[in-house]
Amino acid sequence: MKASIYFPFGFPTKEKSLTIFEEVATSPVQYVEIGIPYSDPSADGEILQYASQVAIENGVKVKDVWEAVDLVKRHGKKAVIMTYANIIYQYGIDEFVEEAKRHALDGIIVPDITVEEFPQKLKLLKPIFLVPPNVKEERLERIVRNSGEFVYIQSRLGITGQKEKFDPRVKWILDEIKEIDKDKNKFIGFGIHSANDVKLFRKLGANGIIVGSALVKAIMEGKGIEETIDNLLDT
Amino acid sequence: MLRQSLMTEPDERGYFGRFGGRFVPESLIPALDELTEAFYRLRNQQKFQEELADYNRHYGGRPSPLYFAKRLTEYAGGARIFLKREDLIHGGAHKFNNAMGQGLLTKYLGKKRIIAETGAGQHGTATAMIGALLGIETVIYMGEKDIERQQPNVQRMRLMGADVVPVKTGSRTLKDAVNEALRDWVRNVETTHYLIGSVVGPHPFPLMVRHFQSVIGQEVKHDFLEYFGELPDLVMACVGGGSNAAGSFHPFIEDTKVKLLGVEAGGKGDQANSRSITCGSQGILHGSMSYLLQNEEGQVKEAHSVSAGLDYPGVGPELAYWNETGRVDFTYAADKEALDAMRLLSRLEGIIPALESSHAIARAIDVAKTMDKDERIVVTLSGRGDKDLETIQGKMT
Repeated sequence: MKASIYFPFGFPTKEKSLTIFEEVATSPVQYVEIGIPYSDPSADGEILQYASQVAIENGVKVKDVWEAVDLVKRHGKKAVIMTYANIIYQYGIDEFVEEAKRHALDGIIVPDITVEEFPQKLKLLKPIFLVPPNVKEERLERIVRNSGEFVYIQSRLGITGQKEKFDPRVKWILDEIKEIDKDKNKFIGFGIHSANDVKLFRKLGANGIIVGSALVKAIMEGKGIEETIDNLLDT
Repeated sequence: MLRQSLMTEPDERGYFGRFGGRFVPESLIPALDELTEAFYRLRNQQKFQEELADYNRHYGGRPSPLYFAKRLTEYAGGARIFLKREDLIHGGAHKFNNAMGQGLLTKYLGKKRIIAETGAGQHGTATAMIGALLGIETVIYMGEKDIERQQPNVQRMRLMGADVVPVKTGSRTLKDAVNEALRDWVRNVETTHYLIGSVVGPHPFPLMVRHFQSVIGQEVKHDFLEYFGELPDLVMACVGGGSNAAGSFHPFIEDTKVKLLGVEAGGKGDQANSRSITCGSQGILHGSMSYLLQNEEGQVKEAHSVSAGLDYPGVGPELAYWNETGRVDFTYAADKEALDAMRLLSRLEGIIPALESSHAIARAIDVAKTMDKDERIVVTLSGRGDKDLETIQGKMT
C-alpha cells in the first residue's frame, strides 16, 4: 500500500514544520503533501482549521514553501502542494507555475477548483482531483483522465478528519476507475485513522492512502511521527 | 459603450464578466447542478410564481410601502428622499424575500433540512420563519461574537424552532458562519439545502438570491411609474454581501438614466472597515471570484462594522461586475455616520432603521443636498433597527 502524508507548512512554526517534513520524507511513504494554510479552509475539519490558524498567526509566507518542497525532493520522495484557490491566485498563477516547475513539484491539490474551473496554465502542475462518493458517472471519467500522480478518493462526504462511517459507494468508484484506466493510482483519504481502515481499502482495490488530520493530531498529542506512520501502515 | 457591456444574466458557468463562477469542492457540484436546473425551470413556472407571490403578499406583507420622507427631505434640503420600506416586511427586513423564495424551492426539491448562516440575525430569523412555515428542519450558524450583539434575533430564531449553532472559529462573525455552513453542507448535501442569505457563494446563488430580492426594485419601479410617470433619478442601498442592493438595483440596470449608488460600511477608518469594493482586491472567497479584503498572501482579513449585517470581507460577484463596468457607483459611510443617521431618522420620521440601512441613509442626506429639489432619490430601508438597540447603548450621545 502506498501512502501520501499531508502536513500544513508553518505549523506549529515554520522551522518545526520543516523538521516534520524531513521526518515524514524519510519514513516509508511515497508522497509528501505540503499544505499551504488559508484563512478560510471550508473543506477542512477542526484539526486542520486550527493548524492553519496557528500557521497564519505565525506569519507563514507562501514563497517559503519551496524550501519544504526541496527538502522532500532531496529525500527522493514526491512532493505535492495542497492549498486553496485564493492563495494561488494571489501569488499569481504564472509565478506559481514557474516556481513549482523550478522546484520539480510533482502535483497540486486545490480542493475548491473543480476540473472545469482549473486554469489551463495551472494544469501544467499535474493536478490531483478529489472524487467524492456522490460523484456522477459522467464526471468521474473526466476527473480520472485529468488527474496526475493519483486520484484522491474521498472515503465519505464531508470535511477532513472526521470519524464517521465510510461511504459504501467507494467500492463502485474504485471499480469504475479501474475500468477507465487500469494503471491509475487510487488513493483514499478523509478520516483514515487506523491500520484497519487501510486494510479495508486495500481489499476494496485502493493502492494508496492519504493521511492528514491524523498526523497533525498525533503531533499535537506529542506522539512520534515514525510511530504514527508505522502504526497506520502496519509495517 | 456601457450599454454593450451590461449583462443582466451570468454566463452558463456563472460568471458576470470576470467575477462569479464556482470555486467549491467537487462534492457540491451535483447539488449545485440540481439547484441550477431547478431554479432556471421554476422561476418561469406559473405554479411556483403564483405560490411565491401568494406567500409574499399574505405572509410577507408585500408590496412594501414607498414612503416620501418629507421631514428628512427638508432636513437635507435638496432632492426628495423616498424610503422603500423593507423594514415593514415580515421579520423586519428584506431577508424575507430570499428566504421565502429559496424555502419554497427547497420544498419543490424535496429536501428535508435547511441550513443558513447569519450575521445580524436577520437572515437567520427569516430562514427560521420559513422553516417553521414550511415545516422544514432548520439549523442556523452564527458567529459567537454576533450572538452576543444580536441577542433578540437569537431568541426569535430559537422561539420559531430553529437550532442556532454558535461558531467559535476565526473572527467568530459572518465569514466564519459561512465556512461552518459550507462544512455542514458538504457533509449533508444529499438531504440539505444551503439557504445562502446574500448574493454571494457559488453559481447559482448570486443569481438566485438577486432574483428573489429583485422584487424590491420591481415594486419601486412600478410605484414610480404609477405615481410620477417616470423613474427615480437615483437609487441607493447599503452593501455588505449586497443582497438588498442587488435587488434594488437590478430592475434598473438597463435604465441607464437612473443612477445607482451602493454604500459600504466604512467602519472606523482605513484599517477597520468592510469596504470590499472600495478598499479590497480581486480574490476568491466562499465559492466565487469577487472583491475581498485580504493581505498580500491571500489570507482573508477580518472585516469591521458596527452593523453585524455589513461585517463581511467579501461582496457579491454581480456587484463587483457593476462596479467594474461603472454602472453602479460605490461609496461608504463610517460607523459614527451610521449611528447619527439612525438617530436622525428615528427623530425626524419616527422610523428606527437598522444600523445596516443607516449607512445608506447617512450618505443619502449628503447626496440629496447636491441635487435639485425636483429630483427624486429612493433609499432602500433594508431593515428595522429594533435588533440594534443593545448595540447602540452608550454609543449615541
